[in-house]
Amino acid sequence: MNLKLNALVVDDSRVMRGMVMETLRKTGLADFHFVEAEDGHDALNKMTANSIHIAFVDWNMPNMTGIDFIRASRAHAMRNDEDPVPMVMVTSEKTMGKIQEALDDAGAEGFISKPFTADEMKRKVAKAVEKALAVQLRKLRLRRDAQIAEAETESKSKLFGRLFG
Amino acid sequence: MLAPSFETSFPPAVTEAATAGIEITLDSILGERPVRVSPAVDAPEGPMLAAIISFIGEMKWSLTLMVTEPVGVALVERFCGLKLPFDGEDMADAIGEIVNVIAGEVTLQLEKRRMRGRMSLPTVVRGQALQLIANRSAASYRVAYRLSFGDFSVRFLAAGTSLFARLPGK
Repeated sequence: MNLKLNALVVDDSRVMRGMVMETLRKTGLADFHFVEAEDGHDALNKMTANSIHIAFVDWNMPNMTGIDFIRASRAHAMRNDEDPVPMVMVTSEKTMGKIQEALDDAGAEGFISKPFTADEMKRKVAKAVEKALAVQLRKLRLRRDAQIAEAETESKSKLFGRLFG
Repeated sequence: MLAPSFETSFPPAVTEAATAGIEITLDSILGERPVRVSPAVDAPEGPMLAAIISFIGEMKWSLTLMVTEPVGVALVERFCGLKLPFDGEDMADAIGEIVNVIAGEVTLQLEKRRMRGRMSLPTVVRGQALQLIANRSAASYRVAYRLSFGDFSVRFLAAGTSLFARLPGK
């Protein structure tokens, strides 16, 4: 099955969004369909409007920072009993405190410091991409099972109709 | 050893962290470590971009990266693989992003020297023969670098010096 991943790329720099998308394509980890957002607020709106499977998020942005966006997004998923979307920080921040804050406190799945190469990107996002693919695959299987069950019920109901109707 | 014409009123520990941050980042982006040279007395002619980013920690200070058109175009091409026109919005965006990446490394270098430096978002200014005029009371440090495709300069500025006493190396 060829799964497409809807990936949200959040960065206030248009050039950097382009670099992140190009590098992710080069990793060959998944067939990405990209959605772009300029800051955390924009990202929250795009998350609602699109079925996002994974997000790559800058830290320092106007209006709403990347770390606040990750916290808000995870809180929303928890309130609605949904799977949290795997999030990877892609940032110029690189101190241990910031890495811990992103991974341990906010719940990011990965952390990449700028500048990055395709190899570094591949190594550091592989786990998050695998998780996103697994979640999507599970949802597709559940949907397929529901469709099969529905078709079986319909077929049984038609059969009963013919026999006793 | 730096030439004596370099301004030296800036706290040495911060200067060391900042110059290390610039050199490590550009080496990583370009595969070429910039070499320090004596800064030119006159501002270069022609169009320029200046990208400014501020730090807040034990002291408040800013780092300004100033590039001419040939250096800016070459730097951005090596950074993102695109030959962008110098007068375009994406060029200013890319130069701002480069200074943002430098600032991330500067913050790490400050931390290694037991200092803090929370960074701001970058601001980019475009103009002709730009000169940064500092207030008399401001501590400043100017450093110029040479790369294979040209020279550029960086200026550190801090207003007020009362907090410097708390800094390591001062």
